[in-house]
Amino acid sequence: MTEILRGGWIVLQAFFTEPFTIFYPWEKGPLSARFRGEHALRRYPSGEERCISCKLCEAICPAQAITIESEPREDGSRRTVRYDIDMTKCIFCGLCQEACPVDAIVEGPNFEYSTETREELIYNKEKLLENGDKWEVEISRNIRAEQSYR
Amino acid sequence: MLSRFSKVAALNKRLLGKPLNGGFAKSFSTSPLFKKEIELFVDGKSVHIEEGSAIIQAAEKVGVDIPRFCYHERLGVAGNCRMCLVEIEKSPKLAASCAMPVSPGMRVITTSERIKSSREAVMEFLLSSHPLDCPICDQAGECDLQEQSMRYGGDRSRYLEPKRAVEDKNIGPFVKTVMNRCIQCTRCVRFANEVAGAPEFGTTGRGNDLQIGTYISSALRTEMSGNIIDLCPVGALTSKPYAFKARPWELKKTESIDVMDAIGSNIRVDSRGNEVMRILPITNDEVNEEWINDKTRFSYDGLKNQRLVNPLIKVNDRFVAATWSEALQLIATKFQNTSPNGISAIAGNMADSESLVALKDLFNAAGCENLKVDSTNNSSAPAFDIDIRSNYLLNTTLVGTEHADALLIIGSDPRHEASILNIRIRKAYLYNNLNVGLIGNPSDLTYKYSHIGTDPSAIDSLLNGSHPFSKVLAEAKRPMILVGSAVSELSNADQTISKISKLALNIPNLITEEWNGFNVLQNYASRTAAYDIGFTPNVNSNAAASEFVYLLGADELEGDSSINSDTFVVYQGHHGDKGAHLANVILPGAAFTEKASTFVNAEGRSQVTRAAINPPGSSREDWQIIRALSEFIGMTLPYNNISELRSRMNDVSPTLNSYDDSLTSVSAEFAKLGLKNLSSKTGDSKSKPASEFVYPIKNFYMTDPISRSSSTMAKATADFA
Amino acid sequence: MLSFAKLATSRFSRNALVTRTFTKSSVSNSDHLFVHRDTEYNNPNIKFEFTPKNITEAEKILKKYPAHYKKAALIPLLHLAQKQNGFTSIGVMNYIAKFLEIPPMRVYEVATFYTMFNREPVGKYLLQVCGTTICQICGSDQIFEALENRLGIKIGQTTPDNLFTLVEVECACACVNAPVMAINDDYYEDLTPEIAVKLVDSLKSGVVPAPGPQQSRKTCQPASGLTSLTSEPPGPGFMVRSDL
Repeated sequence: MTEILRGGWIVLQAFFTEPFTIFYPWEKGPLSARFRGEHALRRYPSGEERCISCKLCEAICPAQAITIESEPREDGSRRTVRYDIDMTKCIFCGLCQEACPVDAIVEGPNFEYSTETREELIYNKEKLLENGDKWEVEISRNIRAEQSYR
Repeated sequence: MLSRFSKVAALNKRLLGKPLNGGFAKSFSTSPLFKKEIELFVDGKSVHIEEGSAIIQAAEKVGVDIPRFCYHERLGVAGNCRMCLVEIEKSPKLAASCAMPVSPGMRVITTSERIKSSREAVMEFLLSSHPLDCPICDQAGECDLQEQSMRYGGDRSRYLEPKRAVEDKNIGPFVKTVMNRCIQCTRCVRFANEVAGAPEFGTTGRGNDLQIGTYISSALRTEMSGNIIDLCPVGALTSKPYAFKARPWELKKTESIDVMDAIGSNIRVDSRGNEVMRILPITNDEVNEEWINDKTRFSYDGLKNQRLVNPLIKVNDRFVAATWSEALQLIATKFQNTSPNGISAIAGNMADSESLVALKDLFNAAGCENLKVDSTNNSSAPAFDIDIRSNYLLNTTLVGTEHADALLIIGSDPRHEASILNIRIRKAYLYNNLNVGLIGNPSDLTYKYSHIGTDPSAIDSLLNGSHPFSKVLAEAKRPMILVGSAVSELSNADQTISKISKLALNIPNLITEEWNGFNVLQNYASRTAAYDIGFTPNVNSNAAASEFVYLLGADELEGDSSINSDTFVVYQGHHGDKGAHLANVILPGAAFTEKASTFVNAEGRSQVTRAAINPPGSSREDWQIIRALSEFIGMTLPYNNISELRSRMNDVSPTLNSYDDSLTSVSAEFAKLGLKNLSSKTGDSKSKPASEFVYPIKNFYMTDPISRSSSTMAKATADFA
Repeated sequence: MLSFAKLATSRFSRNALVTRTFTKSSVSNSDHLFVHRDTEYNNPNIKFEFTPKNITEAEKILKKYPAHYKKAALIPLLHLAQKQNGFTSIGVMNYIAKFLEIPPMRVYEVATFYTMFNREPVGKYLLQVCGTTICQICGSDQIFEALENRLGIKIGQTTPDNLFTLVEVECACACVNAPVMAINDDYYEDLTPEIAVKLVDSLKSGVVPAPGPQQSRKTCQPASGLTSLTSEPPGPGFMVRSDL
């Protein structure tokens, strides 16, 4: 008998407490610097792309989401011709960014990139580089914060 | 001289028995080639090995792994990397196991605290001058330095000083050099000097400033230059056409056979997806040891260009894509409406034995014997009388060539026609006091020879004993004659061959129970099989133009008179080369990397390729095309799958199916009989004597449709021609 | 780079980030390059041949070695050719290779191994100052300084009039008379910076000074006179059996 009243008291208490709900998309939850979101290919401050096509990320990816083909560039350096990440296969484990020796492929803080067709989710090199340019400031801030733990 | 693998050692034992001594010493190796066996103990295990071997070989024999960088079984010992150090009981210092000869009762320890710290130290020293290039280096994943440092090296570096840098050398279009990575093991230098015969490679400077290169910026001019890519334990020498393309862990490896020449080198085709990424050699002591020539290694990029992918029918000077049934029906109709005398077939240089047997069966079923191989003079029977097998094979075998002590080369350029054979000859020249005489155009063969004459008439000087080399041949214990295919293309081929056979019969030790020194060098992968099968015209065939010609991948067609503007030509092959241009119907076949097929090499050894990738577009395997065509024609061939076809091949010639690495050799009696037949040929007395040999290979880098479509081969031609 | 430095000092980097500055490789420490560069004075088109006198000399040298092992004479013949040509050019190396019937690379290997084969032209007087332990203790650094100032060149360079080339060499094996300088084939010992400069001046004026110790003593004897081995040396035949 008393259980009903006790339950009712809890409901009354909850009625007057402030809810935890946030008003997404105007309010967003906090993210840590280690958050793994949309992938991006970074560049050096001089503008040179970082990726040297070592294929370590392709090898370590547990979902085999990364496909790489490479060739010598005109100046003789080692660069990719094709660098595709199939975001529908990707499990966002972050192993690729751990494997990368030059911090080229990273998982940025962006998670709001849903698309209406499945094809758009197969990112090619241009898309990834674009991402990189767009998000570089935040990505490099995150990397600097995490530097000593990596 | 250090011992080789046991199979070859057994061959040595059979052929020799007594040491070869005496005579003019070109080198200082007059020591006996087969020594007594002694016993030693490696890590407690007892090993019996030839006296004079190194400890590292004894360890290999018993299964103990000793790490090494500079030691290689097929090269001379350098002993400069110091990675192979082992402890010998009762010896105060560690010994380099690659250079220390075994002695009876020696006790060797290969793992102890001292050795572990020595290996760590060597690793640290090697890495102290090595750049941090692993992500951009092509050798990553298959790098000796990586593997041995993981296994035997330390886990951290304490090197903070600047590292040395060395200039990159440009040594040609095949080998990419990043000399910063070089650890100066000198394997490439030893290979170039000893095996390949290219003395322009060496080491300049000393100590930390030692650089490997050619000093003056010249290219490494040898057709075996690609092998230093395999030898280099680090990424200093890598393949230029393959640069940056793939990592070894993403490649599927398929064992196969090379068809660019008639040696049948064992290769490993590395493919990723449906693309051949590179070709590497496989060790086969009896054929190609561990080497392949540059054409074999680098012409794979031609497999992507100029491919025939759809059946094509020529309509008013243009090729129109068709379906298989349309194309085959058209051919079948034409075939049925032509008389047996008016049809002929020409087998290309890369045709596999399965399709040769199928095509011969089809033509024979139609009552036609007009089967030719793709050479000049192909309308008459082959000059070498193929009834007896030893008349057209490399009878001495590639392994046996190393034991010859006199060699007469007639009308052949073994360096470009069969580079692996040339390597064996050079080995015999270096270690066995081989005396070489050449009749033909003088060229650099990487070994010294006495030039007897340039034109075929020089054979007379040997027959009548006027040239001193005839004495060399007469006194040799293991003489060899190597006849090139240029002989069969002479205008007076029959007379020349008869003279050569007479000469051969006069040399006392040429053909004995254990040794057959009479060799004919074939240049093309399909030739020996074609002769084994009997793919040759008979006496009734005519040289005149035919009405219907079936080209089985035939693209050279030099001096061929069977095709004129009225002929209906069917071309079955994989590249759009000369043959395809002449065709009325094109049937796309598979290249050698795309089918499992049998090829017989110049020694008569049959080997099988395996399919590494799928044939492009609508192409099919060649024998299947012929089988399908036979159904359309109405003379269905009696085999529906590969095993039935192979048992048919066994009926035709059991030598086509011997896959167990054994060579069926012809007995001395039959070999001599074959030579007698050849010596009795009189030929056409009206033909005028040829004044010179015309060698079949004009440009080593472009001899077949695959290498002609390859851009790497085009670069090589531009650089080296 | 800046962020690295900042990070290194920030409190998050307690677990010792080893900050290294970005270093380029050091300049090659040896005097010469170990690859050949064609220049107008040193290229394969400039042929070299022994003079007839040197050919006889070369034959004499060849006789010392086995007949079928001609390449054993490589070093003495290269030295002879260098004396004739002034320096071991690529033409010299190619000629010797043909002379001895060996591949040219073998000659290049030997010529680059030994530092006394000068593959670049040197001045008329090659000033080889020893800089090893003993000579350095006895003041070879000052001698280098003095010579550099006098001649206006650094170690390894040649003066513009092609008279002097200054090189630092390893131990000349005359340590008793340190510091030592070898000029072409002669040793000049017991140097001081002033004496070295005087030598150079005298050479410039065309007078070749007497080799040997440049101060008061004879060879390596003490300056104050012999303290041992003071008697006449016994001649040949001393303590030899009479019947020999």
